[in-house]
Amino acid sequence: MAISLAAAVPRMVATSSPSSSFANSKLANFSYLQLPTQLQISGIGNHCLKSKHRPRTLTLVASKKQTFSSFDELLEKSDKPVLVDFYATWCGPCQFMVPILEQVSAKMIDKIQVVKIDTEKYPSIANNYSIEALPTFILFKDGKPFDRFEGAMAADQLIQRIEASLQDKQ
Amino acid sequence: MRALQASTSYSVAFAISSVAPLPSLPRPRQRHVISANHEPTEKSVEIMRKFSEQYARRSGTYFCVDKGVTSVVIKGLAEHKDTLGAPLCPCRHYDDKAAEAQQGFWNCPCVPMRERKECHCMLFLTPDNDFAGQEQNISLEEIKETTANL
Repeated sequence: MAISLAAAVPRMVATSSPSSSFANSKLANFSYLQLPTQLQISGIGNHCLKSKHRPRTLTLVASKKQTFSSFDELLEKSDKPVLVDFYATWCGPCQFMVPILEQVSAKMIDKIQVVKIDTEKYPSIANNYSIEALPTFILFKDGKPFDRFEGAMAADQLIQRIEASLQDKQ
Repeated sequence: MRALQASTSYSVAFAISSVAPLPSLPRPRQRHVISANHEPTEKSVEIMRKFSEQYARRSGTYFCVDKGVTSVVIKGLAEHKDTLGAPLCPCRHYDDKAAEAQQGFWNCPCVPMRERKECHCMLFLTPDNDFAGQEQNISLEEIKETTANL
């Protein structure tokens, strides 16, 4: 399974809109890996498929596209702890967390890498980690699940939880 | 430039190979994103919208301060109703969705909600919940507006 994703380069993180309603949040430059982002977004709406690929719906200008052959490889290759968000499109709390994750990702860019996994597109990965409730967040350290928690929460709570985990040496 | 949710970027990536036929709607749709995720039928959304309002009233619970959350869940319930025949909870990952829909534990209103008023979807919130608003109503327009970019 080829997993193509984009990793934003730290120096180009843009701020996301502070609005509480996720309906207004912008997909700007983020310091997190998206899994996957094959950015050949052709055939949008009622245009016919064109051979010229233009990422018109994403402003991941600062992102670096990387390809991983598996989720495990992604975890292996990461030099920082990875916060994985298991979500689904029609899960309300998951969408609620989108702008919060942007914020947290930007704030903690030097400390963690954020990856989001659509459990409907990657059910096998979700099954591997026994994901049930959504959203479920798993913090991986050295490629292994270190901490795990479920449900939506405010940005400062999420940051607190992550930092507590990062400091925990057990 | 349209604002896009992070989640849609994934769906766009796979749209090319796995687009499912969208249900026909009375008006032409201007979608700027191809999504492999199915959009629920308007009929099902309306059914789940009415159900949500009634059940909130009946259970003394309230919708989230952010109605976008309410809208997404209602659409998720509608989508499952369309594809599985039952409104399976959209905030869960399942091994076998069809089996779960048959079994019923997670069909909305799910057992945890019915027994303990626990709704992790943040659809029905008890008044003491930090995210609970004051409303037990949501219009179809509100649903459409807040999910326009999904």
